[in-house]
Amino acid sequence: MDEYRQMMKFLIRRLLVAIPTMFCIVLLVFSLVHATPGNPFQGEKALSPEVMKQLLHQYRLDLPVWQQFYLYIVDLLHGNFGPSYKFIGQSINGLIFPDYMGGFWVTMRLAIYAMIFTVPLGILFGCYAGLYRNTWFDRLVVMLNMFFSAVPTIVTGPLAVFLFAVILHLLPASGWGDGDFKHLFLPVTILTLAYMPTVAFVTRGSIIDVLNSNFIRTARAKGLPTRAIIFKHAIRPTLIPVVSLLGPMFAGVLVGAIVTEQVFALPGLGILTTNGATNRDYNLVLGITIFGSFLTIAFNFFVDILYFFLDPKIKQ
Amino acid sequence: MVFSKRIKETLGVPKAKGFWQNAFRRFSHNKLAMVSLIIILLLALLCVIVPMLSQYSYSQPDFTGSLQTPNLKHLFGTDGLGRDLYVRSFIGGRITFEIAFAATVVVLLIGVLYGSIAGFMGGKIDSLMMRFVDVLYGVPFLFFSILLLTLFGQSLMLSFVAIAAISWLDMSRVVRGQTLSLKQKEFVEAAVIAGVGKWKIIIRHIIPNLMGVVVVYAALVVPNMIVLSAVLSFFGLGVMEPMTSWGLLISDGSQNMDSWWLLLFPAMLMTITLLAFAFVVNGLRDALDPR
Repeated sequence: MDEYRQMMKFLIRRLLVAIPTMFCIVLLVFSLVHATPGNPFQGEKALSPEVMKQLLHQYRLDLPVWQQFYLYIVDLLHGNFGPSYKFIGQSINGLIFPDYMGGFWVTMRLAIYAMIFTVPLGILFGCYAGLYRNTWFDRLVVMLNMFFSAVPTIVTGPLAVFLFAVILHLLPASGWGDGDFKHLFLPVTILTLAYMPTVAFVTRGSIIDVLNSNFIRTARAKGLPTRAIIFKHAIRPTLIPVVSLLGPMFAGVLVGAIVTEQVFALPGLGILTTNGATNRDYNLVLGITIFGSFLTIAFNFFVDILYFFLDPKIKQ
Repeated sequence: MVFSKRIKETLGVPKAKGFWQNAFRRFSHNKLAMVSLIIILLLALLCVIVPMLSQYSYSQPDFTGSLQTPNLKHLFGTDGLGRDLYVRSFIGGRITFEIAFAATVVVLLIGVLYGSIAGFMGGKIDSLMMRFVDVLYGVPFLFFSILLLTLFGQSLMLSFVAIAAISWLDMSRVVRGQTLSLKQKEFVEAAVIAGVGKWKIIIRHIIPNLMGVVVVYAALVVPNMIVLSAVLSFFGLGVMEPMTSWGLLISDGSQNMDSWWLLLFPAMLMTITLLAFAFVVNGLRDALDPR
């Protein structure tokens, strides 16, 4: 009961931070967009003043800015990102969450698959490397971390395509197909390789620290078998730094998924963002940015909950 | 001064080396880091020299000689418009380096000032300033960059200044942390007691003592900016034809995989540069931050 009360208190406190942060982000990007001179319909074709007025009215752009902001917030609270300025007649919700396989659904799948492989494998490899320090496997983990945190997916991706699709003819070079294994293998692998070595490296450092600490020495002195030491005592404190890595990493994977989509020509949020940016469709880019921020903050909140269970210090 | 010098001579005590001298010695003993640094300098030099001295232009199409495989006349081959890839790779490198360094300078200026002010002022100002950093952390970086590029249009330098203006977050956090610990040191307390003003303490005492960390982070920011500019090129934002950058070259190369040289050479140059920076950062961290 007490545990439960503590947890509710903790969650509410985190929410009280997360909600104003989200509000500030919306305020920031909204004012950035609306501080730019001109309106989105200038410079297309010469529009007659009446048509222009009609357009501005239709998209609420003739209202004072604070009123636009208020209406935008109200829309957001209803889960509505408003209309697209350039894909005439389409709502941004329809573009981000289409009925077919595209937009966020593609990005989400890519990110989730990558996370599914990245986190458990990273922790496993990291623990193994840390437990058997200075073996070839340990060195491999350190080297891979060095390489893949330096060289980004936009370099490794095309190189992998070149190797596996053009030279070896094993896999298709690009496209989503119908989301089958062959089409997804390369993008997911590249995305996983970009982040897994980091997880492994952090886990490795963390488990080395933990195994050198006093309470482990006590456990050893007490005569506990190694297996019991690792699984009962070492794992939990080892995971704390790894979990705190997950929050920022999720934002990284989300962005990484979008870049990977761009490399492999997948029909996800990436192509949508590009279209929005090149067509100067402010509302679309604004909507995607806010949606991305929302996901990041929501995920950080989730990580905080994990943290609560892992780190006893937080409960105090 | 004279007195202390004479004692040193008579006792034969070696002259104490300064922080930077020690750091430099440690760094130069790190072979990998030294080699990497030399590679970076060489590449930077090539990026300046090659486009100046070459007989080929990076922008002039030559339709009679398009898509040549690498040969003695065109070391890296030619692209679909018959332009020499060797020259284009290095002019692209020049742009990439320019963007990265310009952005790094902006990041340094904002990050160091912001972080040291927040750390030194403490209290409400500090927590307010850091909350603002937290807010910016909530926005996925790439989206924000794309939004800024959309807003600022095709003015390349302006957009990169804008992007730099949101990439100082890590820097400011690190600087703030360091400032908080510096604030406790005796020499800062002495300055406070001597009645030195807050600004003067920040500029004269805090910032010079932050330089070790700042150098390491600056060396981290440069490759990050190289990657970011390449990523943005993949999205069709940033550098525009006929000017080019490594990101744009790789993006082009990945669309013409049958002409392997179009992808492999720029990708190789970028990989070498990024790895070299990674090793230099490691070396700097070991040299400046001996923990």
